[in-house]
Amino acid sequence: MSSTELIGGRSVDLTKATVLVVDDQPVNIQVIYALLCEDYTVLAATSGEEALSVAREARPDLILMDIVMPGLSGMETCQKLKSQDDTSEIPVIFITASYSSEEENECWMSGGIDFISKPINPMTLKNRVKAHLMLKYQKDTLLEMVYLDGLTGVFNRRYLDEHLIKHIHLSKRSKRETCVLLIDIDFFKQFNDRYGHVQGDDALKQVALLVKSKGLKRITDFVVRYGGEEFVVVLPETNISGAKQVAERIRAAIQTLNLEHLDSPFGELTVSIGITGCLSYDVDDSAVLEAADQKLYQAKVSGRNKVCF
Amino acid sequence: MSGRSIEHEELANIDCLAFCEQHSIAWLDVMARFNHNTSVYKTALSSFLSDLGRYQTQLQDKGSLSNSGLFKASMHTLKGVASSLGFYNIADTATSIEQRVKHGDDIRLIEECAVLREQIAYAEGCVPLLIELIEREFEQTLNEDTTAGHQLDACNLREELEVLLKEIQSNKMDSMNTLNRIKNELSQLSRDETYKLSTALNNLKFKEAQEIVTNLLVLGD
Ligand SMILES: [Mg+2]
Repeated sequence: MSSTELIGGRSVDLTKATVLVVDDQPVNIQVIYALLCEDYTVLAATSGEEALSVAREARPDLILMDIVMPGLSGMETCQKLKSQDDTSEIPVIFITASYSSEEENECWMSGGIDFISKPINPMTLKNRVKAHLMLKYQKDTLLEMVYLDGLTGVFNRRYLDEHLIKHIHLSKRSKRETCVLLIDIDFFKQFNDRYGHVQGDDALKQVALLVKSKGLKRITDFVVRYGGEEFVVVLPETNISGAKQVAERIRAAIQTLNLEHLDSPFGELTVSIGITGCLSYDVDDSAVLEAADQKLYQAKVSGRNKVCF
Repeated sequence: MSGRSIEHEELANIDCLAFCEQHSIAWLDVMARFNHNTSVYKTALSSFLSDLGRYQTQLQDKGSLSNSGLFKASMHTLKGVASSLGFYNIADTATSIEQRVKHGDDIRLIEECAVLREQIAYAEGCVPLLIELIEREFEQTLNEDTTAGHQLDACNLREELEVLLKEIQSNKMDSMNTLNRIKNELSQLSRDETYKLSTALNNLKFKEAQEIVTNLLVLGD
């Protein structure tokens, strides 16, 4: 059985998938390892507590969980995983030696997606694992489609709507600034009129790529295509002066792309950028974006190819 | 299975399958369950062997029966592990004991605990021999390979140790293979630490293993 599958004629490689096996008995983990080691990366934890830390650290694609363990039981561990943002999406399959329907119900209620019974039937284990990894892959792909902008590959507006507000909340709680950059390509309508939409799209892609490479330094930073030629960069735990540096870097990098734009007074493609921090506003993402838009407006009226804050 | 002790000489002309048939270990089932991966099975046997001592102590201790919850859980675990490794007689007795604890059948319970102790003692004799047989039957060529010019120099050993450390830090099961690959060379550095490391990894004690590898890296400097 190989771990490469076809979905809609496209081949999907699951060999990079990681499976975490949790059981207080090392022997049980070794049995499962022997069955899965050729196809996936297998991680192990011999207690619920250890499983929680491995799951947060390694973000496995699937967890196989024993039920009866000293300390945190399998179900308690599963509940904890489901209650934490960073691990809640990891599917958990329970491995159970008993057949009471009450226990099964508890498993479903604690957030498990399936069972495998002990003693393990090798074919069943392999196939269930593959099936659930496939589901996870499809779900991840779907999420990507929902949250990514098709043209540029950066996040889309839906992602911003769901995530900016979270960062504003975090910022208020920690009293550490989160900054928002609103970036607009100067005279983009004229660019499209002169060079056509194909080149226009190409310019958007290049700008997105540069904003990503120059603007994102930490794993929590992200770029969104906000509208036609507008991008938003969200920089958690960054103050205005840090954000100003990032913005200036982006502005300069785009100018040095040297993309010809003969209908711009600069003769090449440029951007204007407005910056705002979240702390001085209520917990309201549209107010924050509105404020960034006003700074962007200032940058536009004061001559474009500028950063305002 | 009479109380007959197992002699080392038995091993001379026998393979794993025949040995297991003689001693009621379900070799074929086990091989299917372990995907014919004898090296993982061997590792599992080593940790099983150290567990057996623990069960034996527990069964001898009259006090452990008074904590029926803990004792039942322990029989439940033994049932699972023994059946995974092909020791069905132990698994059956443990299952039956688990039921008797559940239903408070004390008289039969004591009889069956005695049976289980005998079965465990017998297995304690079998397991080391089976491990030896597995090594002879399946790992011969591997050992020849490592002596035939696959010696790691100090620099490569260090690299491998660093790989091992990374794997252990992220709880990767593959760390056991990495260790097996460099075990001979590592033993030359420190026999004791290598043994401790191997025991820790067999029991999936990653934190402990991490400390030992860190020590070995210092030793190698
Ligand atoms: Mg257990």
